[in-house]
Amino acid sequence: MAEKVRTSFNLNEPILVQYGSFLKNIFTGDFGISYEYHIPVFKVIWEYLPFTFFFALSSFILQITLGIKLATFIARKKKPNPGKIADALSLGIYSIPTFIIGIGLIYLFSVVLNIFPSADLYSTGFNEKSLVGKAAEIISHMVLPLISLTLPGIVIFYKYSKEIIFSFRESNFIRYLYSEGVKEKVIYSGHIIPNILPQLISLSVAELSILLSGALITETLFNLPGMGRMTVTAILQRDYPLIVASTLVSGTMVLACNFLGDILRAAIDRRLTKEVYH
Amino acid sequence: MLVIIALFISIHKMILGAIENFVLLILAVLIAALALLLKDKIKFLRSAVKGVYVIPFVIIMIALFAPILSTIKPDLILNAGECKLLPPLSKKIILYKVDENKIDGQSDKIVADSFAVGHPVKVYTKRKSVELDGTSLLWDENKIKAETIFFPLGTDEFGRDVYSRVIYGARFSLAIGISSALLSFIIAAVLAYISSFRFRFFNRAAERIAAIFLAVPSLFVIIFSISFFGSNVLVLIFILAVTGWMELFKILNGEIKRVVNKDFIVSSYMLKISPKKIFVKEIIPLILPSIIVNLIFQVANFIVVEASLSFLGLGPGGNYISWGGIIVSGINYMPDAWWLILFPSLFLFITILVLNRTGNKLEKYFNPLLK
Repeated sequence: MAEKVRTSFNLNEPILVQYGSFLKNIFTGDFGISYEYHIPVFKVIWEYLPFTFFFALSSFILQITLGIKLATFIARKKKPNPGKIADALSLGIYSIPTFIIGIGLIYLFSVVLNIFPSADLYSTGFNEKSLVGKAAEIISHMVLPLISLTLPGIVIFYKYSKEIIFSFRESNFIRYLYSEGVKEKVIYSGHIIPNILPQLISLSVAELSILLSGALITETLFNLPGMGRMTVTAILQRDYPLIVASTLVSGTMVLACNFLGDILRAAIDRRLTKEVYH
Repeated sequence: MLVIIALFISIHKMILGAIENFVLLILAVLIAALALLLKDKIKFLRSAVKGVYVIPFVIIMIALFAPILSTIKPDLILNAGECKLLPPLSKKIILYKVDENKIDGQSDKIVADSFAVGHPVKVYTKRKSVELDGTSLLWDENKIKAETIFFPLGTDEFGRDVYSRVIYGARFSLAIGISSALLSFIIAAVLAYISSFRFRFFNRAAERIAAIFLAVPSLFVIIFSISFFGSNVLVLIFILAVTGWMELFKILNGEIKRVVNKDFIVSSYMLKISPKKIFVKEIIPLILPSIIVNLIFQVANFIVVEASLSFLGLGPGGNYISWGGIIVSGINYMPDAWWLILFPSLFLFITILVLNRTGNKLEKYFNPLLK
């Protein structure tokens, strides 16, 4: 019996053959059967992946919009040294690890003030509610995790956008636009921000990969049903097929984001498609 | 080289708690004496001390001299039933029953709430609770001895003093951060030396490899490796260093390229000084500012990663006291015992904030163009 299992797993053959069969299986989507859940790993990942996608994407959109808005707001102020408070605050928020922000938020809003629920995606009595009730329940459960995930990201986007905007504000063409009487809002939205975009795309690609691993800690803390929590529990239970598959999925996502970032950058910046040197 | 090895060994020993109070007192006296004697010769000690540069040194000193600063040993569970989950600034009284038959004259320790003249004291001994009359305690002075223990920051669920645990946790986190940073510096320096001086064709490939490793989220790789190799301290330090050398390598590469064609380097090379000596003795002191700034940021980063790992339960474990470990065991008591989470988080936050701010200030100090 042990011999049959061993030959079915190809354990008697040399390592290269095992690796080859592993690759072949992956290309056909067969990651194996997880030790803990006893169902194919693909099904497990398929169940947990949409939530992480939705969570990371919504947090990412929030981060970019709020970060850039904050940077333009600070840049518009006329005082000689604008944004000192924002700088100090951003350094403070950047220094707090993600899980401590999460724990602080849980303590403040769930234990003391009792406004937002502290864990899981839905509480009991979920199936009896109407559609609007279900949506409201999910939203009220997601507020705290979203805040704890977006805060460090806002700080990073704010810091980088502020540097670039400040360096662009001194340049000549912006001064000409001001002197021509173009409205400030149009200057910012139509002229400065398109110049930020290349740097912002490379930054957001790095930020997406950080989100994929930052979601790990936040999901474990708030007990949300996503890839992060699944990976952590798989590692703690030594569920090797699941660990390998989840690392593969996260690596694929990072590569896909990088690829997308490159395509976007080439689409925006026409200089990149015209390079003639090698 | 020998200095770095000695540093590693002492840090590792420090983690294991083999340094005792006596050695630490000698060390404190030595450091103070050296600072006073060499004050005129070392420029660094003469300059005016600005506020933010002091705090990392204070934290390092706290971490080094932890056994002296902490009041009680951090693993000591005195009387869990009595000392459990005390709020900060609470006192307990230990009563010793003096027994001449025993060797040091002390026998059962009894922890009591408080006692005042005339009031009965309720004490919890091993099997039953006994009410002792307060007055008779005072009258039999040679039979009962009393001592108060003071918990500045409260106790956790096992009766261990939070203040001592936080200070020993500073020692552990700082040791891991600094040793991982030094190890990553060694890896990056060796790779930079090999790819710039020995096998120059390898340089571009090494840059690309570093960029590839930089694109992967490091937390995933660390957790993945820990799941395969187990989780003890040396594995942790090694893996942290292996995921963190890339940025330092890029900086070293850029700086070496900028410097290697200068006249003095070329003339040293022409004088048949070996490339290794040129690298160690001439190039690295030139680049040292950017290296130090990057290392400070890496130490902060490694402390955060180690705290996150202990939070997830993947840290070195129960023998070592880490801030993340204290926090994660304090979540269960969050509504009742806020002090279990607040103080380790506060220390962690202050350490990382101060390291980041010092890095920023040093960066602006070394590179005046960055204003």
